[in-house]
Amino acid sequence: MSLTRLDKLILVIVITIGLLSFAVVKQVSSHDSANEVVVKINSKKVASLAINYDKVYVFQNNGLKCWVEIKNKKIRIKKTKCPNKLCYKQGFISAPGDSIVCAPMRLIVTIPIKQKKVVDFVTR
Amino acid sequence: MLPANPKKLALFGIFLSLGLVLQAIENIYLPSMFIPGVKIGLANLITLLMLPFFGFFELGLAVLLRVVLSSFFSGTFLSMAFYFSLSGATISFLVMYVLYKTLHKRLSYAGISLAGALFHNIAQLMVAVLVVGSWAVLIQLPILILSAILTGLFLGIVGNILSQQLEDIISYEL
Repeated sequence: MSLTRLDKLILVIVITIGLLSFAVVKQVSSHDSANEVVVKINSKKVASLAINYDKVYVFQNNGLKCWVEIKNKKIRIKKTKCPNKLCYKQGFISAPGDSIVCAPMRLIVTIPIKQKKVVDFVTR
Repeated sequence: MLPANPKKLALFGIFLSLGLVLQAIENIYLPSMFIPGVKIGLANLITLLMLPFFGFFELGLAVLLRVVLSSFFSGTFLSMAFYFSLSGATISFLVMYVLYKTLHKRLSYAGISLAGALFHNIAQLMVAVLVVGSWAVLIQLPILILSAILTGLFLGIVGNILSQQLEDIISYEL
């Protein structure tokens, strides 16, 4: 149970390396955020919106209408005329790969992942 | 490379089989918990406990045999998991051996095991970088280092407790 002074030194060094690596990874991974939002209706891409400008866009389909808001690099459905309002209730999305789906309108708002989303590798 | 002294050879075999059993237990009952790549590394405890009794080549052989034989048990011989485990085991063994030989008077098993666990994970991640061909794998580094701290410290403390008992028994036997 007894840790010597050198043990504690190694522990401190390892914890420091851990924290440093955490900071570095955080720094590096924050750079590759997406810069556009893709809107699809009936599985067809109808618009690609710049994420850097705060703006509200309107889309309609199937006689329904919704307002897509971009604010501080986050996206949400600000207002919708669809019956169950699930898309509105989802709130803001911001991470690549996230998406908001409105089934009645057959609308998908998604933040694309830059690389193709394939499995890199499976061990075993 | 095998120990010439028959008693030492028997001890070698006992340690090797203990390591294999621990490895098998871990493979069956504790498969990579929660996060891929995070394991306790129970078998490393055996490498740790073997340090005072064997030389460099004997220890290296024990580590190599354990990796190869346990890959037979789990059916991963020459698969990617095998190379990950081989690289990790080799590097962590080298680190632990050097630390033990140079500093063992001022270092308990906790420190040795901690450094071993750290380098084990780093080596595996480096192999993963080579295999996947992308530095993106390094995103796992903080998690792996955290797990190395927890498991390394845990095994080191267990090693500290066991080694006191063990050294009395074995030095008497040899």
